[in-house]
Amino acid sequence: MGQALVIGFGNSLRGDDGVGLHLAAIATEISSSRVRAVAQLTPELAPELAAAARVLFIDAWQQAGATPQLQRLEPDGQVPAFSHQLSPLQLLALSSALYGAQPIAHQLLVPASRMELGEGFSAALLTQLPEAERLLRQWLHPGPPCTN
Amino acid sequence: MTRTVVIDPVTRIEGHAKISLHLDDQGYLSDARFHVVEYRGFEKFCEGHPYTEMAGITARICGICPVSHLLAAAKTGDKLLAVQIPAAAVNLRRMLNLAQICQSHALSFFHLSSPDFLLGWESDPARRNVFGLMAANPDLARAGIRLRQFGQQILELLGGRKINAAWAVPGGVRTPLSAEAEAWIRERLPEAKATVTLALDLFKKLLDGPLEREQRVFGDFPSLYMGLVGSDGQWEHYDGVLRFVDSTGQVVADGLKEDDYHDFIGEAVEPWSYLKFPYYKPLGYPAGMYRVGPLARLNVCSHIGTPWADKELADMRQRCGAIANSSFAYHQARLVEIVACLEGIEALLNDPETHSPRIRARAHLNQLEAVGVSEAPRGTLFHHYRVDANGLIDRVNLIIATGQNNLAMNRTVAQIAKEYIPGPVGANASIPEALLNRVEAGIRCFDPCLSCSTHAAGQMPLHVQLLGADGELLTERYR
Repeated sequence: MGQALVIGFGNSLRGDDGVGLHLAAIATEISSSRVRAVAQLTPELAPELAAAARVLFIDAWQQAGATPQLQRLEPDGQVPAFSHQLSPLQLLALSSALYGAQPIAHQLLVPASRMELGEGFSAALLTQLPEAERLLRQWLHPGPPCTN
Repeated sequence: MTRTVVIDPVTRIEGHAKISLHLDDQGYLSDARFHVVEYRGFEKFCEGHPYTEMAGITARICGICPVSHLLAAAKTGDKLLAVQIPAAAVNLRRMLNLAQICQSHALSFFHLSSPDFLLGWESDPARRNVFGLMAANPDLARAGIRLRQFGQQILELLGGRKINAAWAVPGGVRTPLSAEAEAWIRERLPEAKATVTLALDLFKKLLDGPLEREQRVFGDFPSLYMGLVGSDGQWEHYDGVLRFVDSTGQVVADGLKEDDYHDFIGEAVEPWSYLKFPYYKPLGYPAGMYRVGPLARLNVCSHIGTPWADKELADMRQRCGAIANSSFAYHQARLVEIVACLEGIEALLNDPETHSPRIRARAHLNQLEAVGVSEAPRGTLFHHYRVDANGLIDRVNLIIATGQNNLAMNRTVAQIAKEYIPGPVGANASIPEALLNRVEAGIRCFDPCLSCSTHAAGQMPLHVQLLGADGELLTERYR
């Protein structure tokens, strides 16, 4: 059975968009899971997904008034057009189609309010970070199965 | 009444852009524009940062070509220090760039463009992507991913997982090549070569058959070409001097230094796009249109310098002539360059200098202004910094490859549109699928990456509008 894989993605030069990279760095410190911090999801990550038992995608979420969410990803077979970058669902579909393997997948979405050019997080995101970290730890060190 | 067809945004390119096709009073196509609609302001952002941070900062512009900015920034930093970096550092930076070009070209060819070639221009757009390719030719799709992974893994072996952490620094590089990394690369090279052999065989058969028309109409027009060349006119990607040739192969300018780019490159702006329009200054704007990138690099060089790549270059020149003027030839040029990259990486592994522990020259700031240049996968990249006495940046100018192809991308779109809308378009006419598919594919020939100047906007559905002269919306399509 493969290990857990964490993929945080975003751009640390675009304010809150870098939260996925930040949480990936935390995952490296607090777990032995395989961790990836990337600017965007690209096809060569598909073999890594195929080798993992479960995977967590961490991304910024442009959703006003929301709180951090840990969601189960259920591929729906829909394959929208894409550019150089892939969505988590597309990457899962790619892994499944090419390698016949698809890990149990979740995504941790962290509400972002400032995505303009610049470093550092907004005050709004900083208030959400403790909850995002709690959800990250919950996924990394699961007790009962996560069902939401 | 003039009308405008707008394709907004364009799929399977990086960043956010749209295309508008302008019709004249009789309904014939008169002009085409490739718009970049988001402003990034990255140059302004760099001001006030220490020059030593520029490699790390610019590498984070986007996830597609971080190495290109990393190298251009490090080379500019070398000049600010006024040092000659150690031979091993040059070799390792070269290896990094070759790996970057290899993985970037692999993504462009196998995953973004080959669905067009292999699944057909008229196939369902929802299936004409890498997932459709997997269904049609899973071995090719898997091989393409492995080739991309090969290049990406070399980047990680050299620079670490966090390539953005600036492994290439002013004065050299931070760490040498490990024995484990060398062993891994040597083990995987044969498979990478087999993959590009497969792709070349497949693509040449397509060029001889179903893609014949596309070669004629996907941006087949005269222009200048610019790229780095070695001292003997050899293909270059890291050092050397700049050369311009025209569409007949005549050398227009040679031995140009990046420091003097203001003398030969002008940067025009248009009110309808945030992307600049660089041009060859002596010919003026827009007559000074030039192309950069894999096609230009092969057009400006006399030879590549490695046996297999030279053989493939000869084959390409036999097909296209000494100068390939069709933008469609960018695809074959990418495959030839992948060969050059694989042979180049192998040669660097075999060079004893590569394994020297002397990898970094150290110095203080000795110059207050410098220009660095390197060949990114998409073309020549210039970084120009001016710093104060404390080494803080007070001015930055980046001339990116996609910008330099801007005029040619517009011209390519116009040529395709004129081919597929040969007659007048009536007020109630639908927008033909064949046109949409090919206009998008025409832009993809250049594999544009707009993240340097714009925000990568995520998913990009296709939006097409037909507008009247007064801006009235006549019809539109989404997909």
